[in-house]
Amino acid sequence: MMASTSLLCGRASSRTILTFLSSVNRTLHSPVSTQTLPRHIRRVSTSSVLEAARKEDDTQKTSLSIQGYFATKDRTKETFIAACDVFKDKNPHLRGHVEFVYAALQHMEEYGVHKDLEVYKKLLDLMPKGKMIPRNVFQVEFMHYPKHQQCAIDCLDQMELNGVMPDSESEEILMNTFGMYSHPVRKHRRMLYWMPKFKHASPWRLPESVPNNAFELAKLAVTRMCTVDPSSVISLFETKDVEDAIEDTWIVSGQSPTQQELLQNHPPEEPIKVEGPFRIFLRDQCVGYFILRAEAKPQPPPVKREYIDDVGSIKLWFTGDLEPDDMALIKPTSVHEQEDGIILAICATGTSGRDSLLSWIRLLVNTNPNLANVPVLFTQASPVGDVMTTGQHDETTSVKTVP
Amino acid sequence: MLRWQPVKFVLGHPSRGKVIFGHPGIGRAMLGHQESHIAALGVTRGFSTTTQDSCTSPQVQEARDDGPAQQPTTLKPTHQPFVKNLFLGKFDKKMLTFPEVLDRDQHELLHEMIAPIERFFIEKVDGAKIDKEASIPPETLQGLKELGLYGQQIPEEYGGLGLGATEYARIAEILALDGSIAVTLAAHQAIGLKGILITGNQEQKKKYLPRLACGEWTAAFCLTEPSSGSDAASIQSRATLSKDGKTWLLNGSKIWISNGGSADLLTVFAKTPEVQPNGEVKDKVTAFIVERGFGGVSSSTPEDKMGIRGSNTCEIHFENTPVPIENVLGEIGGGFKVAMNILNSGRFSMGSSGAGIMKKMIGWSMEHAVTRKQFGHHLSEFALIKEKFARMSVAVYAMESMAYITAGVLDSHKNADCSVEAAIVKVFSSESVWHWGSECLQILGGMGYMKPYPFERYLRDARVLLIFEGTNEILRLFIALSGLQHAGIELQSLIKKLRNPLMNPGFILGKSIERLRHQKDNPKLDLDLAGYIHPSLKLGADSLEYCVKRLQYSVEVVLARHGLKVAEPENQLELARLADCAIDIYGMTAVLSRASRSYCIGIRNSAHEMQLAMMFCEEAAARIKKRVKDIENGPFINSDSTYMKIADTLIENKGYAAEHPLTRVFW
Repeated sequence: MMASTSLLCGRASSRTILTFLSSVNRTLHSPVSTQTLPRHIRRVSTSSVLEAARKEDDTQKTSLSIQGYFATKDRTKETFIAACDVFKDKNPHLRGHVEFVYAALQHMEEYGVHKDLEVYKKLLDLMPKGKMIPRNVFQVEFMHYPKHQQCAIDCLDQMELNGVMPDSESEEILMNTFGMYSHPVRKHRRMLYWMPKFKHASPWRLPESVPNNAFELAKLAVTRMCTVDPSSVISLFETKDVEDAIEDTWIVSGQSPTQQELLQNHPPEEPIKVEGPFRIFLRDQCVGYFILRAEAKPQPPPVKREYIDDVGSIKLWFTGDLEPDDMALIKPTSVHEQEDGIILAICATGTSGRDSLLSWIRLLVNTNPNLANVPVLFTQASPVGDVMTTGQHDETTSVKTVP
Repeated sequence: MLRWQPVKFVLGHPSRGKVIFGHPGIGRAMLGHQESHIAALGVTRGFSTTTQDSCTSPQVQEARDDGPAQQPTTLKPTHQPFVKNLFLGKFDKKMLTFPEVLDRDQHELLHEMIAPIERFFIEKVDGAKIDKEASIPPETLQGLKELGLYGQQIPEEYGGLGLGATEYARIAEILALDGSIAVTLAAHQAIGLKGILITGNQEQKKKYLPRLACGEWTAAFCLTEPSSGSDAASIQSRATLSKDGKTWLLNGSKIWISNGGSADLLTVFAKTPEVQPNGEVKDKVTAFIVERGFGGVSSSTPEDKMGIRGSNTCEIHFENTPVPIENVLGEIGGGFKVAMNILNSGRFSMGSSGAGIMKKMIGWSMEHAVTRKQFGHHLSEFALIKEKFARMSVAVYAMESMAYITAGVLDSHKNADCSVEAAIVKVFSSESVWHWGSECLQILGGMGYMKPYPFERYLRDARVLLIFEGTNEILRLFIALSGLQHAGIELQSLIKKLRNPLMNPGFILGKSIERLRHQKDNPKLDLDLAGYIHPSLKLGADSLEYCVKRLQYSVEVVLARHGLKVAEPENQLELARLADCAIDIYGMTAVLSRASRSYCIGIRNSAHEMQLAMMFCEEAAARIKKRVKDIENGPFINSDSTYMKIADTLIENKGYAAEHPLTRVFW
C-alpha cells in the first residue's frame, strides 16, 4: 500500500512517467480491466503512447533495422527464436532491446507464437540482468528504468491478453532483471494469483486447445448442456442404424430419465417441435445443436398459505394417508420445464440436416415409446430439392413440415 | 503446480545487487511455496518472517549452483517432531505451508505411471472373483510385477522404482481399488522388505533387494504370535546360536502372517539371549532375514477371513531353521526398535489409500443418488442424504490432507520423526473409512447390501484397517504416551511442583493466576497462526490456536494428576482423550494448510476446499472443547469412574450383569 502511494509521487517526478500516469495506473492496478478493453484501445493506452514519446528520440531509424529481424517469409516459432538469437549475437550489449521487444510483440501473432510461454520467456530474457535492479530506497520507489519496466509490463500484458499463464522461471528472469519490488515482478505475481482463479471459474472445464474435430466438440457441448440435470445420459448414435436414412453421420443426443418421464406423460394430441440450430461456443469453436421442445405447461397454482398454516392435517406416507395423486400436487417442477417450453431432449448431428434430425427422432423412439404417438414438427427450412415424406415408410411417426 | 528450480533470487536491499543462490534441495518446497503463496498474498511480513524461520537451516548459500544433478538427500533440513511438540504447546508454523515435494519431472513421471496402473485395475482385476475364491489369480500378480509395483520404494540401483513417500502414497490410492491386492503388496514392501531397506547392510541389500523388486520373491513380516499381538516385546520364538557361532537356530510359530503361504523371504523376530554387564542373561528381540529355502519353515492352510480374502494369511512354524549370522538385521538385541521403525514407516499410506477408495465410493453412491427417485424426488434432494455426502467429503479431505502432509514432510526432511503423525493418519483414516464406507452402503439401501455390488466387499475389507498395523486402541495410547513422554522431559520440574502443592505454595499461587484464563475456557491466543495462511481461513486458524492451547493445558492437568502412573491401565481413558485431541489438531493443521495453498494458487474448486476445511475445523474444535472439559472435570464428573464400576460388575458376572426383564422375585 505504502509502496504504491510513494510510487505515485515517484512517478510524478519523472517526466516520461507523467505521460503514462493513467495508462500505467490502469495496467498495474487492474490487470483484469485491460482484458475487457478492446485490443486497439489498450494498445493506444500503452505502447502507442510510448511510440509517440519514442518518436522524439528518433527511433525511426532503429525501427527499420529492428523490422529487418522480422522480415522473413517463413514465419514459424523456430525463425522467431532465431531472430531473438541473432539479435543477441549482433548486440552483445543488447542495445535497442526495448524496441526489439516491442516489435517482436507486434509480430508474434503472425508467427503464431502469441500463445507460447517459451517465446515470451525468451523475450523477457533479452533484458540485461542485474543492471536495472535498484540499489537504494529511492530507486525502488521511483520506478527505476521506467521505459524498460514498461516494456516488460507490456509484454506481460500481451501474455495476459492471450491467456498465457507465466511460471516461476519467468518470475526468476524478471526478478534478476528488475529486482523483487519492481512493477513487472509485482504484476507477474498478480497474474499468478488471478489467472488460475479465472481459469477455474467456469464449472465446465475445457482442455487447453479445444479439439478441432466436430464430433469431439459436439460431445463436449452436449455433455456441458446436460449437466443441468445430473442424471442425464449422453448417447452416441449413427444414422446408419436407422433404416432408410439418407445421410450418414453421427448423432450426439442427451436426455435424462426425467425428460423421458415427461415425454411419456405427454398427451398424444399436442405436437412437439424440433428447434434449432442454436449455437454454443466452446472457447472459439462453435457447435450447432437442436432441441426437442413441447409447449410450456401452465404453472400449478402456488399452495395457499392457509393450507400450509394448518398443521392439524399433516399427511404422512407411513400411514397411507398420502396417495400418489396427492404427491402430484406438491411435486416439484423439474429443471426441464421452463417458461418458454419443456425441453425433452437435445442433440447435435454431424450434418445438422433435416434427415439426420429425423433419424434422431427415430432413434429416440427406442427409449421413448410414446414419442411414436406424438406428432413431431420440424421447424428447419426445407432443403432445396425433393422433399422426402416418410409417412409411407413408417405409419407410426407422422411428420409435418413447416416452411 | 509451480515448477521449482534452483532458486536464484535477488534481495533488492543493500547487498548491492549481489545475486544470492538459494539451495536446490533444502526446504525448496517450504521456501518455494511460502515465497510464492505468501508473497502472492502481498503479505511481506509473512514473507520476511518465513525467511527468518527458515534461516535456521542453511538455506541461502553463496553461489553453489550445482544444478539438478545434485543429490538432495544429504542436504535436507531436519524436522522437529510436530505432534510431540504440540503437547508442549509449541506449534511449528512451517506445517501451515503445505509441502510441494515433486518437481516437474517427478510429477509428470508419476502421472504417467498412474494411468496404466488404473487401467490394469479397471480392466484386469476382478475383485468379486478374488473375494469369492479367496485367492488372487497368478496372472494378476504377474501383471502387478510387470508394472513394477513390487519394488516401489526400493532404490533404482536394486531394480526398484525408487519412489519417495509422496509417490508411494499416490499409487496406494489406486491400489486400494482392491483390498486384497493392496494388503498383499503392503505386506510385501511396506513391512516385509522394509527392514532390509531401513536397517540392512550393503551385502543384505545387494543379495535380496533385486529379487524382491522384480517380484521373483515375495516378502512377509513375522512378528505376531498366538500369545503376543499388540505386545510385541513378549514374543516367545527363540533363536539360539549354534556351537560354531555361525548360525542361529530359530524355533517358534507365528500366526496371521500376510503372504505367509507364498513368501520366500521372511523378516522374523525372535528372542535371543543377551548377557548383561552385570552377568544376567536377558532375552532381547532380534530381527532375522529368513529365506524359506533355509529349511524348517512350514506354513499352514490360509485362514478364512471376513475381508481381504484374497490375501494369503497363515501360520508359519520354524523348527530349528538355520539362519546364518550375516542375516541378522541390525544389531543383535535391537530387533524391537527395527520392528517399530518398520511399522512406523508404512502407516501414513493408509490415509491416501483410504481416501482413494472413499472417493470412488462417493462417486458411485452419488451416481445412484442422482438417478434414483423416491417420493417423486431424487435421493440427492433429501437433506439426510446430502448431509452424509457432505460429512463424508469433509472426512476424506482431512484424510488426504493428513496423509500427503506427512508424506511431504518425510520426503523433504532428513530422518524426520513422523511416528506419531503416521499413527494419527492411520487411526483417523481407518475409522473414517469404516464409518463412511458403511454410510455409502446405506445410501444405496438394499442394493448396497447385495453381493453383486462392491460396497459390502469394500466394507468387509475395510474392517481390518482398524486392527492390523497396530490396533487403533494401541495407537491412541502410543500417540498420547509419546507426546507425554516428550512433554514430560521439559515439564518435569513443573509437574513435580504441581504434584506437591503444599511444598510449593508460592508457585501454586502464581500458576493458579496464570491458569485463571484456562479455567474460564478462554486461553490467551498468542501464536498468530492466522498470519501464516490465507486471511479467509482466520476463523479456522483461531480455532486451531485455541485447541493447541487447550491441549497444552490438558497435558499439564493429566501429568499433574497421575505423575508417572499415567501409563497405567486404569488411566487409559484420559490418554485416549488426549490422543483424540492430537488427532483432531493434526487434521486441522493439514486441512488449513492445504486449503490455504489451494486458494492462493487458484486450484479449481478451491472455495469448496475452504468450506471443507472450515467445517472440519469447527467440528474438531467443538470435540476438543468437550474433551478438554472432560479431562479437567476428572473421572467422577465425566462418568469415567461409573463406566469402570459397570465394567467391573460385568467382569465379576462374566458377562452381562443385569437380570432379564422378565425375572420375577415374588408372585
